[in-house]
Amino acid sequence: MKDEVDTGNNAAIGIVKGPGESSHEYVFVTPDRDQLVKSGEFVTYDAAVDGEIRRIFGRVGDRTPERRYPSGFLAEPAAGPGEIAELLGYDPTLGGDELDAVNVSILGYFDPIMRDFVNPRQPPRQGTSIRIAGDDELADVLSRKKPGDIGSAHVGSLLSRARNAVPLILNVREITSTHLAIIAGTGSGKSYLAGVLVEELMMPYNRAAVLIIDPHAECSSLSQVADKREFQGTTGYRPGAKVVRPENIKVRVSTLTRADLHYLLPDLTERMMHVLDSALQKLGKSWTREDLHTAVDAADRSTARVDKDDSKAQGAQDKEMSSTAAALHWRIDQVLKRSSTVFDDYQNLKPTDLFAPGQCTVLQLNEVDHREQQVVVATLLRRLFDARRKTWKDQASPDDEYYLPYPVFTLIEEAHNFAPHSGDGLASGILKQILSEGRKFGVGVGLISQRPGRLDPDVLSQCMTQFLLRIVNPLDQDTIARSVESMGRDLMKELPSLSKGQALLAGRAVNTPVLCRVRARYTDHTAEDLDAPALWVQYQKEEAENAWKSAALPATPPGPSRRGMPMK
Amino acid sequence: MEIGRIVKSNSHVDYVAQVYGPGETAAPPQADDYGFGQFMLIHAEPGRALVAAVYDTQLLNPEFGRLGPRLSSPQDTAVFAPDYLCEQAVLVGLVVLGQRMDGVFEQGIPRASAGVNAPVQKMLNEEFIGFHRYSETPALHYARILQAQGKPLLFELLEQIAGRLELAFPEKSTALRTLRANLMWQSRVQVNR
Repeated sequence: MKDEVDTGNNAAIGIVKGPGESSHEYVFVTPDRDQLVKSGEFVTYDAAVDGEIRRIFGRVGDRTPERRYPSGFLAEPAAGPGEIAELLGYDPTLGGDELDAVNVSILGYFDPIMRDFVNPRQPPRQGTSIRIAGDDELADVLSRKKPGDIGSAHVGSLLSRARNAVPLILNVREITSTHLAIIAGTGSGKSYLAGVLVEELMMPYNRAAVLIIDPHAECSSLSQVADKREFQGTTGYRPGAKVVRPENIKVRVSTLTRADLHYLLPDLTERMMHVLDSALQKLGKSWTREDLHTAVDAADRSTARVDKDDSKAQGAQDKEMSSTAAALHWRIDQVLKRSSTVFDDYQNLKPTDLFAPGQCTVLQLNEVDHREQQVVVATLLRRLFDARRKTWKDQASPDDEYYLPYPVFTLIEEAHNFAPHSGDGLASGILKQILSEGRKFGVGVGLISQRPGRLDPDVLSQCMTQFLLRIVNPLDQDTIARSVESMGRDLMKELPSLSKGQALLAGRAVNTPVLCRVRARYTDHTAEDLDAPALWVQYQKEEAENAWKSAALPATPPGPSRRGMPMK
Repeated sequence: MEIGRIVKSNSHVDYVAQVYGPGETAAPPQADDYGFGQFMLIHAEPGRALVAAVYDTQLLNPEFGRLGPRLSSPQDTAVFAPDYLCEQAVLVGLVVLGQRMDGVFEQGIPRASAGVNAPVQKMLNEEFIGFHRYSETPALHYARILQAQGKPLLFELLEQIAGRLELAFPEKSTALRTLRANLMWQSRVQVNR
């Protein structure tokens, strides 16, 4: 039996007052002279659990003032309350003039075998000394991995400590198998954090196969991982980077499902749907748009023969049948041919083109129509899942289009567009299937959204690791509170007060929810907004200069460029 | 200047002194000499004096309400025996706030009390400032004694003292003014809530 534990170098900062509101909380009183007791900070006490002295960790929550100077002493900014109290014979240098009661959520002692916290299920006794947890012991118990371990991701450090004093290392295995959500308001750094995560996935100790679905083309700078020294391994490893531009995104029409076509083709009547469905049933696995037109004609004629028995409406039906087929032909041409470069008879993005271990692929969808984006993502995820399932079950050979012999991770920006709250997103179904079954076949998904309130709550609740940045909208906070089971109410209060570059990490990839200061990126961050005032001033100066030149030299060339320069 | 003698006490810190009247001393004190808020030294024993402040004044007049010879009955006036001593007196209430031991002032409740007939002496302004100087800064460490009495006059007394100290310690006038404002708030605004 272990008789005592090392109390560390940290002096006691408070004394337990008693149990808190619930059985896993306690309250301690502290003068906190050095202002060490920050919200979200980790504190410890030592107690006997099952005959063994254990170090019990807890997380600091709310604090309430126990003792303060009277408000009347604060009436004059030039004279502090301590100075006035001194007149009355109180010696402020003795300390204790400010006392706070601090609520602490008990996490428990850390079990090195289970690598998790075990709750002692009893609060500390009154009078127990409370200490700030040491940096080293925190680094040991908060993260499931050590820096540089295979499957580790160093995303930042503990917010309540000095920068990098307590590094936070995520478990990449958990992220890629039980999925991830990055939720944040606009401008709070979600793309930056996603960039950090991708950088870690590209490190020599991970070498992940990553695809980023990027509707705003803000992630192209991640291709710098191929050139930066930080990502190169000692054994010659160098990550690959690939940016698939909108003009290179191809979806073979034969991979479209009935639901995809119903979604893409606008305003289909009941008869059009029937004819289209009949045509699709007759087509095999591989077909072209011309084949679809032919099949539509055949299905239309077939439907007409059935309907001819009804002689009363024959004339009218002949007219309608031809108009149904013509309308379908027009819609198919309009959507799959004329207005889109995405759909193709033969070309397709193969999973192996998009994924390779040690390769980061950015799929830019910024110039792709919104409805086509839905179809691109839905077909891509469907084929990805099929490929992994077939490969896992030995149903695909290396020369098969559906052969994908390694786990993959897909990061989806603006996820609320692909899995909306209404549940009618084209990709919602396959996304839910991947979220529930993907771990069996090595398909991991990371969702990034700035509007969790518009995200399907089922989808969000299946992402078992959460990165939450500043969120002010109460609706969004409610959605998170309902969907993120590991998030306590005390931590939810932190969300509106987080600054840029600060995040709340929770879920499977960490041992307990923690407030994180996101580390600096090695690659550039390109999601900054344009500096509109600077561009206006620049434009106006150029305009004035050209006007002056025109007046002096009548034959001068035309005015300034109308294109704004992005400002760094 | 000696203004009178202790005649009784109501508590360890609450004394009553009778002010010298005409004929009792060569130069009887004037009303200003024992006015409200005036600091006094109560000489308890050689080398030790209690420091107290006037917080109350009472006029004693046993003749008030007595009938004159014309209105008295014959039995009452059968023997004419006028009082041979004037029994009218001025009494002042003194609250003890500290003491002076061998010339050194200290604030707070003194351990020993004063006796009956202990002479009461008016404190000079320099002595008032000396009593309130603690480590070169003004001190009102006895404020709790006054507040604990719970008498409205004592709040007023404390405000007066803080006001005098503002003039005596200009470098601490901001803190003293804030304290005085706080006392005024408590005694004049808060009580009316």
